[in-house]
Amino acid sequence: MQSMKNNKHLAAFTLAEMLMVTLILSVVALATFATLNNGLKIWQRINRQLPAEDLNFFFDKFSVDLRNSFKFSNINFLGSAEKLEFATLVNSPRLDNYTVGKLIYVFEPKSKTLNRYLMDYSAMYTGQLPEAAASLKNVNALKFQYYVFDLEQKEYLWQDEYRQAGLPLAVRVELELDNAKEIKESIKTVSIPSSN
Amino acid sequence: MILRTGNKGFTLVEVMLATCVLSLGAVLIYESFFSALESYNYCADYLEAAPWMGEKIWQAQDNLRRFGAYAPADNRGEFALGNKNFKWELSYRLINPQLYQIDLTLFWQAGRRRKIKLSRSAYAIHEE
Repeated sequence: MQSMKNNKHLAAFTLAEMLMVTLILSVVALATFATLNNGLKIWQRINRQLPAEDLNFFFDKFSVDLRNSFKFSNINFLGSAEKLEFATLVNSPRLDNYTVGKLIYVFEPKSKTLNRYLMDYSAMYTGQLPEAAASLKNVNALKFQYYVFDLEQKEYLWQDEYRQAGLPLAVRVELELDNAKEIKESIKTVSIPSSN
Repeated sequence: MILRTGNKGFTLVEVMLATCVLSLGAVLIYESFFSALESYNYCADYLEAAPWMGEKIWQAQDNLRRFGAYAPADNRGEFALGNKNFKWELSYRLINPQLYQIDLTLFWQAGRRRKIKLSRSAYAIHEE
């Protein structure tokens, strides 16, 4: 009799109760897991860097450099399909200030990079090519074009080379960027204000 | 029995309340994630759209510089970048005998709710 009384107090859960609790707990756990999992996926996605970011920064730099370019007696504007050099305002690391200098943009197909070399006057005097700064990577193909007014034919046209004196009216760069997932073509045209 | 009185379990109401608070927190966190995702997508579209607009503006400036009032009227259109559709509108306005103002507006749909409208303006001088 005594033991029966005790048993009544220590009554366990019934099977139905246990099932209910297990069900509720598993539903809650599943919901929590799904939430965290999806949240983590979104988090990873928004932290991924966009390939267009680098390209836009590069294009901005490129247009600032070109728009600042001017006619200068010792530095000619020289342009070919894969190389471009011109006089412009450069931030000299030696003087720690802006001075007249030369910029070279050159496409190197082997390393698939578009390099930007900045030369201030002393770098040009020693003739040493400094280390490339702010280069664009994963470039599959590239082509520079030069917009000029042809005095003989009296019309505007795009040339693949620029060897004459002065500055072209505009420079266009067409490039193919390869970012693991897809190959993307981009075009950027920059007018040179001091050319006319 | 005396020992067990101290560690009674939670009541159903308590557990339900806790779950409610938890899910409310999760919903709020989710909301912020979604807005971050929306900003990210907007940023990705913007990085595609901005260079395109720059090119279009250059083209319009060149046309106006060369042809002035005879510039080809090319004032609206549509194009797709990736899997997104963009609509654009371009207009010129003569503000001085030779000076034109160019207005370019680009529209696209971001997510389900937001409609984006991005505008750029530039000047062009007609050379005779």
